[in-house]
Amino acid sequence: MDNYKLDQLLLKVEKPARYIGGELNSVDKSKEKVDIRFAFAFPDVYEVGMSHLGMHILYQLLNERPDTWCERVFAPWPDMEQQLIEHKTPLFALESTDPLCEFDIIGFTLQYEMSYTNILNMLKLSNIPMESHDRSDNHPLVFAGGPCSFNPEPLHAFVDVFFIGESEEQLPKVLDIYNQHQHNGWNKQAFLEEICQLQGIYIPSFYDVVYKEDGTIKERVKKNNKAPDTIKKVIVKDLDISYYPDKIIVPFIETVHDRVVLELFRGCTRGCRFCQAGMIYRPIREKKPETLIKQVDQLLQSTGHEEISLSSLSTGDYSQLMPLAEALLDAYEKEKISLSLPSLRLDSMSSEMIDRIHSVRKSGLTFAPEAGTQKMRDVINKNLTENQIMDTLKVAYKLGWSTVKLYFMVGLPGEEIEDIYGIKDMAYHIKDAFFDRPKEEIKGNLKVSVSAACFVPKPFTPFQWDGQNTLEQFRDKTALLKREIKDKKISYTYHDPKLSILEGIFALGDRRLAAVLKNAVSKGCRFDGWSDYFDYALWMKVFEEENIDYTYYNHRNKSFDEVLPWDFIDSGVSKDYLIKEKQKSLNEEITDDCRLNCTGCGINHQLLGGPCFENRN
Amino acid sequence: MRIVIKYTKKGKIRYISHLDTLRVLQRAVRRAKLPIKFSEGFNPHAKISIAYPLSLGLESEGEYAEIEFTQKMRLTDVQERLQKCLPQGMEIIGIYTYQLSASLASLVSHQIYGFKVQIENTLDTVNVVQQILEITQQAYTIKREKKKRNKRVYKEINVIDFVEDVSVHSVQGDMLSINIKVKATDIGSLKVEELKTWIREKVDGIEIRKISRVDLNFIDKSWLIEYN
Ligand code: SF4
Repeated sequence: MDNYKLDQLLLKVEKPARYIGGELNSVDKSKEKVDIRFAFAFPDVYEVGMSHLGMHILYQLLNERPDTWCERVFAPWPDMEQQLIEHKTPLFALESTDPLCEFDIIGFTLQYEMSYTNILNMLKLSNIPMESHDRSDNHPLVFAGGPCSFNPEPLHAFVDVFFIGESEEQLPKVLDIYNQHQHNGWNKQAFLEEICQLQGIYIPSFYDVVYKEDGTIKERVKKNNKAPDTIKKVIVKDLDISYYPDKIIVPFIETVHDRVVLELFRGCTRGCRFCQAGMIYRPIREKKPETLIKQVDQLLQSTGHEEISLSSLSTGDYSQLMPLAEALLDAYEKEKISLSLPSLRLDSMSSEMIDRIHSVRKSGLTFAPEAGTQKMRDVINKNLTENQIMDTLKVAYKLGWSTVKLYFMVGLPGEEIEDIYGIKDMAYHIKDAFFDRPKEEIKGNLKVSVSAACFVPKPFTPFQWDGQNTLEQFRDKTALLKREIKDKKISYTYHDPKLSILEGIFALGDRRLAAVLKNAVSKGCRFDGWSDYFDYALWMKVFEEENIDYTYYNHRNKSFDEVLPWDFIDSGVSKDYLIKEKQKSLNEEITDDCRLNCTGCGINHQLLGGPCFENRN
Repeated sequence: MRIVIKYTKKGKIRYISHLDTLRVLQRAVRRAKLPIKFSEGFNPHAKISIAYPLSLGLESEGEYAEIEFTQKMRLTDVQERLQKCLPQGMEIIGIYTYQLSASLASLVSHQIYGFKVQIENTLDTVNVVQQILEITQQAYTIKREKKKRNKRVYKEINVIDFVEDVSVHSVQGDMLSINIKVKATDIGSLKVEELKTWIREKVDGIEIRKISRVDLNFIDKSWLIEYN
């Protein structure tokens, strides 16, 4: 796009910096000198997308290839969307400002279901046919990967190639094959047939799904005999030697994660039964402290960031956490670089350490008990007792903390009214513990904030067979807490149940929802994760028009022998294990952290070919 | 040691806000490993400030920022190292030691805007120039809208009160360069949009093609001496 045209757009939008590119460590290449033009597409606004670590890894990884130029594109905010339409300008990538339709491949990342409409809308704004079968050999290929690709079916009609699992190693292989095909005469079908034989690659157009009369799945039929029956997820086996960029893009505008993010490990051993990440990212793989220290040094150099954030699913579980934190503080404290640790475990830290970790002071203490009673926490296998929280708090109060954040869920399987009251009780106990001390010790202004999310059952968890609460149930529960929590020291917020309902439908959905998505986008649905733009009534109208009873997807309890839409994907965790866990949850029986004792989820046989914790410590 | 840098903000970088520009400068200083001074207190921040805000989307040929170091530095050295860490479009075009006790921001007296206008009919050039040179002789009021507790309040402002001088800088073919010197007072200054309306209304036969901020003026410019 020429500069004049671009200026006409940029001058009319609220935050033009979202669309200008050119940030530190972004990559410019000459399009004549590369074979593959790849657009990494994040179906949300710039600030959200740029806060996502996975994007940064893949962006730099692809740009290290001399034959590829990877650029970025984000969902244009509605003000920019309007400008694009008014100026008849197709959606463009940030680096070259070339329209997406000129690219070879558009790769979407699927982080949450509520961004699906943005994917379709981005294709629409690029004048690229939304549905794969309408795209010719000359259109860009559409790839997708990320956690939501573990149930890819609602998007099957729009995506050519899904990547299941961690794509750092698979994507380069696919690009190599792409290049060969381009040089030997391009034929999309032939290319898809070749890559479908790689682990973790799913080509939805190679399959059909046949349904029973009651609407459930009868069977999947292969339309192409080269296609595999099941798709096995891919993992990076050794994070110490896998690719990690030495530079990441530094946005001009402030984003959520304006700091060096260090990924300490992947996977989680806690086995919370509601948590999809805890299942699909298995097994746990730690990086060595030496690796991390080297990476942080390079990243601080190349970005000029002032904060290091240690991030993982359950950061406190990192086996070398304290030595690492100490080493980082020793190295960078002088330069006023601060360290932030989410999900802190104070009990294992010296008070001197606590003092040195700046972020804790700023943001207060955070706990995620997820449920209000011990019974419920046993059901969901959240191994955190009220006593543990209280012990930590006693230390923390003494050290001068006075801000506590608590995260809960409502609508969990087997939940009763007492469990909702339990949320209130816990908040009040935490408040009482603050004032139940000698007067002279009480300092600061106590602030307890309680946040309640509405539970969404997710594929590949022991709760994948459970029906989600109805809108009314969610409303009753969140309203009850609103009524009950009446204290100046305790604030209460809850997530919009409507949003969680829609999330549930798409998380648990199948191929028949593709028509719903298409219709919703034609009616103007996008940015559904943003309350300003989310229009529940419009969605309900779409379901009606498409003649789809959405309750079939999210509110129905399923039997163990029903064929689930995502059953053809092998996450490495066996279905038997999930069933066993579901049954244990019914008996309120907990499963230990498998760091202590392997609890037999199957990932070791399926993907590792050996135990998870060999050679550790 | 305190210094002042003068730099440009051109190209796409003009689309980043005042605050984001400040962050770009802070980061550049850090990456250049310059011995920046930090404020005291619990949330220390690097001692850098920009003399006067620039509206989003406007190019500038003369921005100023004040930076404090913990030790004495060679200006050429600072310039070289800092320049390497700045994004495209931000070019250091001057560097000065600064020893006044007042902050640089408090010394700003005028903003100078450059308007590039195209004359529709070059036979009119003399007439157009005349209109421009006489523009300050007539009062011109604009209404400013303000929101006060959901109510709209209007305030009338006479543009001339804020304009010190309008001059024609150069004529090239059908393009005229005009410089407008606008007062930056305690009670505020004029917005670019307001200047635009004024010029459009008062000068016939032209089309505004480009606006940029050319420079700032200061009450005390004793520090503003070339170092080499
Ligand atoms: S195989 Fe055993 S140790 Fe490994 S993740 Fe599964 S349960 Fe945990």
